[in-house]
Amino acid sequence: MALKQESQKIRVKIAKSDNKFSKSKIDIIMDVSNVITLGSEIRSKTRKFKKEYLKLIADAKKIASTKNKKFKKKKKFSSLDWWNLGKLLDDFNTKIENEFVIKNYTQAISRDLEGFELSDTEVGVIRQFARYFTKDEVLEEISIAHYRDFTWKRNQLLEHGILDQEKNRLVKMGKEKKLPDHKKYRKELQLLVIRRGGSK
Amino acid sequence: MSIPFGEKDMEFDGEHILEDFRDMYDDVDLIVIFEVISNSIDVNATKVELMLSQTKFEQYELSFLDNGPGMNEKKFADFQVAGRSDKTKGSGIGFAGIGAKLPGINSKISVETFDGKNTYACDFYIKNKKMKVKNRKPTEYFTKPGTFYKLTFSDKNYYNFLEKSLEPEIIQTFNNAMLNGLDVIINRKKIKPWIPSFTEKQSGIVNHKGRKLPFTFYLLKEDQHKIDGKISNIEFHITGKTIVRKQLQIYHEIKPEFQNKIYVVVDSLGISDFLKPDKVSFKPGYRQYKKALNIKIKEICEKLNLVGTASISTIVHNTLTRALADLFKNPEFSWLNPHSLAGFGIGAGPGTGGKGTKSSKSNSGKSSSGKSSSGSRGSGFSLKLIDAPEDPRPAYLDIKQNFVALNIAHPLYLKSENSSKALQVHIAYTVVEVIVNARAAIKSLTIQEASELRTKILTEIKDKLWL
Repeated sequence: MALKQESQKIRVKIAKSDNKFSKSKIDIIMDVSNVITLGSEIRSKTRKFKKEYLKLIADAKKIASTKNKKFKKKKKFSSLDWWNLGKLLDDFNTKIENEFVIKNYTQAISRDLEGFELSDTEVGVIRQFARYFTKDEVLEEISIAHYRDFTWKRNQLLEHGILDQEKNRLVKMGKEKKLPDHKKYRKELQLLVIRRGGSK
Repeated sequence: MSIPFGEKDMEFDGEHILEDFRDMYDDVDLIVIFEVISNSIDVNATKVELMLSQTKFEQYELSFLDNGPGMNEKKFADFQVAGRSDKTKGSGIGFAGIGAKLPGINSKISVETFDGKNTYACDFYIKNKKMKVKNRKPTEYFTKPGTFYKLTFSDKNYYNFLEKSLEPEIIQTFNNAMLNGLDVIINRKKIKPWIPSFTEKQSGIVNHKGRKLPFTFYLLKEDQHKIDGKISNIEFHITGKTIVRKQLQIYHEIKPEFQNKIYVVVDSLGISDFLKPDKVSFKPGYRQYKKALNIKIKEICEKLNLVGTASISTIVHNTLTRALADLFKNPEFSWLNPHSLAGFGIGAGPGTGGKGTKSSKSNSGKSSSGKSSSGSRGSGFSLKLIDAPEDPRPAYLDIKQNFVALNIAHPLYLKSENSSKALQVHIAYTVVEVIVNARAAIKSLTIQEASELRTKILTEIKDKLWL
């Protein structure tokens, strides 16, 4: 029985289980307030959440399997693969965000996608990448490094009102196979932002 | 000695039985007074006159005269049998038939009654450790039906106590009866009941499982005075006699400025069969009705915008963590702080504690989010909950992740989660146990020492903890 129903989100932390009694690799850690507020309902909600999170990790591992060094049929991990992975991770958070707040989502993904050597920053970047680009805008000709450079500068480009313009330029250069290597492209972006900042 | 075979009436040790009767009552000094007035109310008397006086050296009297119908011969004969009463459970307060006939060692109770036709009289007293009743010729002259009780005693301290406390005790216990029309006169002075001065008044009836509890809700102009250090928002009474006073279950959810202004009077005749023989408490079965009443009161409080934003969950959490944080400041208990064990600074708020070092700056780093109370004070601990059905432990200290993890899938948690009070107790016991156990190993405490330490901590924080 819930003592009081409140429409507040459940704050959770996904922790690696060091619990020798636990059959699961992860523990969902909750704040006291949510638990007491929701009463017994919290258990069904968090168990469902845990199941979905573990499925996410399994699905993500499938997508990322070719990147895994242990994978036998290793192939190039394309930008589209990165986008699919980022989309999966971002969609999960969008799906649960009405009900849950995961306080350590990127850290948890970074830890639980073991074998893929993704830092939590990289997890954050691929999620943003999937959010900023549609599937159609993800081309084999554009490397993930280019997309990542663009993603890092995205807020500044937006601030200067040149986000769409630069995105179109990137996609066009990719289609026309006129893209400089990603280090040069990063420099171009830096100069673009500096010039715009100066002109303002 | 040979014991003969066969059936016989079981004997009772009168002295012990009397002792047991007395022990039933919360306040022995007031037994006779409350019982006699209760009996008068039960027979629909509208007036009770009390006289307190010193009759001779070391001899005092307290007498009562009511204007009830008096007792006829049969009723008077029954009245002289301890434990016999013509009243039935659920019909009033005086069903046990004991209290009004319980004289002390050096006292005597005299009763005279006039039913409109005849007058009967008897005395109750103790002789050779046995309770005696002696019928005699009446000495009082009645002009109309009624019953006269007289308590004769020799204890001057008791006389002094009554002189000082009789009026306030009667007001405290029979205020509702007086508001409902009972006149109580002490030494020819009519006692004035306390009339609530309020800004809001609402009456209603709680219907629960076929029983009705009429109540009146007041929002007082002034704060109530504390009784025994507590505010009693709800007064359960039966036919005007206050049985028990309780704090609102949602007391801490009420905005502080209104917490002591809520006063609810409940006519509990509908649940009087739950009354214990001492008539100042109910058997546990009444709790469901108390809960239903509290839900109703909460609805009223919400409509009147008296409820604050703090939920009981926040209170439970903050109360516990704050109480322990304060405890850890005491040098006697500071070594128990998980903070000193793990080298982490720990906040009591909803967030995790900050990463720190074992040095004095240990509470630096990312602190708990804004609500943290003890985190900012550099002590305390963080409590987190975990759903671990396979784990047989009710809780454990996670040193790496810096919190006490309470298992919400543990059978003990499941059993207590339906009651905020039970949950509070469970959490407190479990957390203290985890903290003590974590340190017991390091300090090489014996089982007994660890157990004593747990008891000491819980005793130390009990007043802050169990609201």
